Amino acid sequence: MKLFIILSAFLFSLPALAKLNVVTTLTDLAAITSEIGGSEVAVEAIAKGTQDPHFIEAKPSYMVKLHKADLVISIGLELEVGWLPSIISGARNPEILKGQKGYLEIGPLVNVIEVPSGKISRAEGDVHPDGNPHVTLSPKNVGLIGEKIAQRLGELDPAHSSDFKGRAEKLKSRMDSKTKEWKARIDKTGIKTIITYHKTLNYFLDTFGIKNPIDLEPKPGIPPTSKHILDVLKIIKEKNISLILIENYFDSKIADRIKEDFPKVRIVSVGVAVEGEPGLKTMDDVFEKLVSIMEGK
Amino acid sequence: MKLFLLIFLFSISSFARTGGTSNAFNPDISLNTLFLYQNSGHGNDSTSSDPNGFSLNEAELGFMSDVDVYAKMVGIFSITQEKGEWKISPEEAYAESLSLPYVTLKAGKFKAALGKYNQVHTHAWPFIDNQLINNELLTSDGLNSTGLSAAALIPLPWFSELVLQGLAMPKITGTGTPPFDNTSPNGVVAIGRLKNLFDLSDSLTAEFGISGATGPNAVDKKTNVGGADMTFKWRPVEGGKYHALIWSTEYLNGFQPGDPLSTLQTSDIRTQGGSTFLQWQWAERWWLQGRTEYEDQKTAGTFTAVKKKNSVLVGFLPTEFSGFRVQYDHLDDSTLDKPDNRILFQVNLSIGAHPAHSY
Repeated sequence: MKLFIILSAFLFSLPALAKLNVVTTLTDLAAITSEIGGSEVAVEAIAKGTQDPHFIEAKPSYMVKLHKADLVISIGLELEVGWLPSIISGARNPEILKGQKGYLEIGPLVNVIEVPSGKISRAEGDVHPDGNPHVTLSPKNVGLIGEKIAQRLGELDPAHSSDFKGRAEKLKSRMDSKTKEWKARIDKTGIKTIITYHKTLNYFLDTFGIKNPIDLEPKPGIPPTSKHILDVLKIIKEKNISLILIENYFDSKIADRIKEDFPKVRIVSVGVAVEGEPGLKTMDDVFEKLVSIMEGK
Repeated sequence: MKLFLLIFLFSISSFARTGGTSNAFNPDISLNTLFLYQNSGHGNDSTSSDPNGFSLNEAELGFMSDVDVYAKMVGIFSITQEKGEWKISPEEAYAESLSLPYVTLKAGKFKAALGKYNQVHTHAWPFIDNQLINNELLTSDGLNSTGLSAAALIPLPWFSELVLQGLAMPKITGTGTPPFDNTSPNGVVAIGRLKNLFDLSDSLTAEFGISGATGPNAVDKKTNVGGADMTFKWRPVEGGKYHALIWSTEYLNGFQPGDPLSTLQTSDIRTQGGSTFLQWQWAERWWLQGRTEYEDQKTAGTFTAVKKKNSVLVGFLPTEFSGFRVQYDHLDDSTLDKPDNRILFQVNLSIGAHPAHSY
């Protein structure tokens, strides 16, 4: 009888002990979820920080991960449109379908920039109809994302709802105060205009009032052409640009051509996601790295 | 046929333009077109089924949407030219379950899960043309019919999927020796496929598949088809936009018993063959590929056809929505007087909904 009671107590306590199993599409979302979820949540990301999130292959092994997931967190805004639907469909897990509690699309819930107006066409390149999907690269959005994730985790695990909410508030307040610090440091550099390869960093640049007059890509998703690089060189001269950031999943060979004409321009290949390069373990690290590069460190 | 096509296309455009919030419920619509130029010694022959010159190889209209909370529906219509006449036919039209755990049920017309490449649509074939053994054993149209399918995810630490299908066979119209036929009114082809995929590292996967099918043939005897396939894919986690290597091999074997009393097929036919190919992505938009294939057919125990083919392909894929590929084939076919050389050039263009790529 005693054994029966102990066994029953153990079995009834199992669901309470079980961690929520969360799979995110990106490492940035995994890092935020991990901070909000703490020890109550097990988190795994599909894309690596060194991969271009537009072009992840829908490996069947990801379906196995999603099959066991309680919650899938994605960016949406068509960032994962080429791979996530196949993985979700192959996972055969009805709890993570769109519209269910087990599916959370973050992009539409935060501040989105560069939402095209009017009719768009693929002649403009890989344009996202609902706006720039690289939403995690704004510290303000990171705070908001934390809140949205905390809310959903709380719905799935009400017993820890207040823990999640508390951690989200801490994250938001830390991001707010660090944003002020980062802004002061960036302002000190005097850099007002830079160039990037793709529109990945536009949220970061927007937050700190830095302009990006031209990308190395002539159009989103199209590799640099000789003609376009001539336009880039012209802009570098006109705007007296001193820094070019190349997201490190893009080929940085183009830097050699720019260096020929402007040897003093700093061209840095940089990780733009958590785990995008060694040492980037949190979103704070990602922003800190970008700010340090702007400072010339 | 032309009138039907016009009505069909106008009806698509009108319901795609439906205004207001109802747009949200319109299905995803896509159109893929394959333009082809080919030149071969065999193609100069007036009786050739693949004459030399330019052609619209295929246009494929696709529609996909959720039916309700329980199912989604897919319709893929192929527009092709046969003997100078344009025809539109449902390549696939099926409903698939959304809300079942572990298993996906499918009902309708679809490509059979027999072998790795029978399920792949023409525009997604690794080479411009289909594999020799698929063409011969499963016909140029592929094994595709109406029926039911259940695909179960086996609860193992790696991806393991078992697919079981039952297909009613229509009269097969594609070229080749149809393995199955609708002679028996209740004839059903039973198909099974087991696919296992392992992540050997973050950059490398290994996939192993076995499949089989059994069902009535033209003389109402049981045809059996079996196959095995193996694919290794390498795409580095760092620099994966620019480099990848794929090695894939597939073998199929079919036995079609004959009936000495029948006028359709008196002798037993054994057909076997396979292909192995490499695909190397050496730059962001460039691919170099090589393939070697073998196929033989024995009728009443005697070789009646032996084919060996080698192909080289260079592909330029500017975006996900366009591709240009040039392929050279050298074919040794015991049924032809001399080896045949062929050049193919394909333009592959897609518009509409962004496709969700399969692995």
